[in-house]
Amino acid sequence: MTVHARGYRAYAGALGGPPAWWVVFRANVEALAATRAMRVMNTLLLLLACGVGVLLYVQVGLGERIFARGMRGDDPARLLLDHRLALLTALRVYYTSASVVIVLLSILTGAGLVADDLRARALTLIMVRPVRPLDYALGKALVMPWFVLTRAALPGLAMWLLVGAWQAPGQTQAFWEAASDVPGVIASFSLLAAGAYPGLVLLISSATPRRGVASGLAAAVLFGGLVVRGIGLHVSGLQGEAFRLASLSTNALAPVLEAHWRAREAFGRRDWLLERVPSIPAAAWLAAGLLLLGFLRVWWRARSVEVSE
Amino acid sequence: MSAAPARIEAERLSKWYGEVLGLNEVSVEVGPGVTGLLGPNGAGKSTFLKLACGMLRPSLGRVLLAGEEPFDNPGVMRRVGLCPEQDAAYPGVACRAVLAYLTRLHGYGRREARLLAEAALGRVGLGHVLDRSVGTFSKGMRQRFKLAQALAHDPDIVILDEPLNGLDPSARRDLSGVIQSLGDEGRCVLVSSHVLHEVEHLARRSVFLYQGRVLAEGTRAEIRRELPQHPLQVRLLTPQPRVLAQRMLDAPGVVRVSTDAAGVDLLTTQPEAFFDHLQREVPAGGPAVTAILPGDEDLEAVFRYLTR
Repeated sequence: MTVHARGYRAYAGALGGPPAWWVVFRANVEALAATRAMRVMNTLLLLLACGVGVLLYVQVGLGERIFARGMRGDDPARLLLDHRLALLTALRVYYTSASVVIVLLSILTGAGLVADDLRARALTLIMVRPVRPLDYALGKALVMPWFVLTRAALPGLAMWLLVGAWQAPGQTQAFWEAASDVPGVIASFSLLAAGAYPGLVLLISSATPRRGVASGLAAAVLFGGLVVRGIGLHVSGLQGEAFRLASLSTNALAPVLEAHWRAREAFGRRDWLLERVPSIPAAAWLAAGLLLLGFLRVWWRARSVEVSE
Repeated sequence: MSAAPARIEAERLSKWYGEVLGLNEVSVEVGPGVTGLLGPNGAGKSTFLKLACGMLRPSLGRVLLAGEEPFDNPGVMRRVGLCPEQDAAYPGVACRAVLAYLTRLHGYGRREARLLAEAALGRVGLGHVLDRSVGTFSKGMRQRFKLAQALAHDPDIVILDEPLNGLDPSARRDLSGVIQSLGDEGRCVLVSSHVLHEVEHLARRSVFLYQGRVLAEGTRAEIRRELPQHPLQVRLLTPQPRVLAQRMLDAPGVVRVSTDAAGVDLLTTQPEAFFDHLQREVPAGGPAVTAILPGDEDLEAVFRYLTR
């Protein structure tokens, strides 16, 4: 038995609990979801999705019954292809518009993810708890991809399901089979967007303790990428391809644009955009690389915390 | 995570920053109660705290918290509460929310973390400003908040880096009371400071660091007894200071005598022989001595001796 001068007080605190990365992730998601910027962006995206959904319904559901069937006849196979094209057009419109909102969302809310911790010197307080640098980096790195993924994938999947539901009786399953590639297109866009924007924003957010500077830098890189891409449109070869990869929003749109182009091609229509869309594997590597870099940067930042700064 | 008693043990702990030596073969043990970690700037206090909090890996030797090495060991960090020197909190967020978030990182659920946060804020005297953002706090309130975040998860090892810095006397008294109560509860509390008189009132034991080495450790009296080559200052209270002063001039080791209206101040290089002499002299018809006071057993004096 050990007898201490003042008596030992046995530890009575928590011994278990969820993984630390999950707590970091969840707490940050809750905090960001409560911000005004996030609420505004969510409302905008919801309105946008509803607007595109209404147009899609008019075109595929209501409009189809009133106008198109009479003109096109009752060829079910052609009808399915037509509806698939309408869905991809709607997705293209939604994702092109939503990209702007998602970029703004990433800049306005994501820029403070690590920058706020650095500015508040809160990293010290976090890292002296049962949190490894890896937990912190993982929790932080997943926050923005979660927001982007849910806001990109859910409306797209909802449109895919709804267009199936709006088909004539007995055609729903046939439509989903005819458009079975569309969930993959939606997932590709969502993953590219969820990797590239958050990765870049995380990288910048962990480089400066000032949220304003982080937002400005992220905006400069994201919108500057559009300019570089514009230059790349006039440059041929590998150099041009590299330039065209500079626009992360266009990179994310590449799977949607390509699927839409192929759907139009089935009707004999051609789209000049395809040759100018960056290669999807290259865009995927870039997105994954950015997310990995952002994660590593945050991890490194967390590792180099000091008690007395 | 083991259920070992709350202790901080360093065994020949050394840390180099490149070619700069931050800590040099430090061996100390800190058990339950309040212990002071003292030293001037650059003594190695911060390096010791970083090593104790698992933020640095030792270059040589090891540091153990409750028997486990803290570096990359989240299990043992559940038992640790750190109050850092610098201000650290989200300025735009309510203090209860910040504290609940930090407490959740220890594995508590949302509701439980919130209750613990409220209790900790109440303990340090911030119970009336739970929803105020930390950015609006005064210096004293921020210090209280930092202490609360170190305590909310109920740690049994508490490490406080300059916890009383910049506080007014009232806040200093309040927080000193909280810190002392932590020690009385049986927690292992390590208080780092370069202001010696702060720790004097808080700590039962002190560890003196200087240029990366442990200069001394123990209670003030223990440390003082280890320093026979340094004169001991003694104050004798008497109604006849001048008479007593004359008699004490012949006492062993006395190198300086001064008087005032209430008593005599002496410096002796041979404390034990001096006290023997005093015991013989006073009953032998000398002037009455109403009290013998240690004149320089305060930490300031001890540290002055140690670093001279």
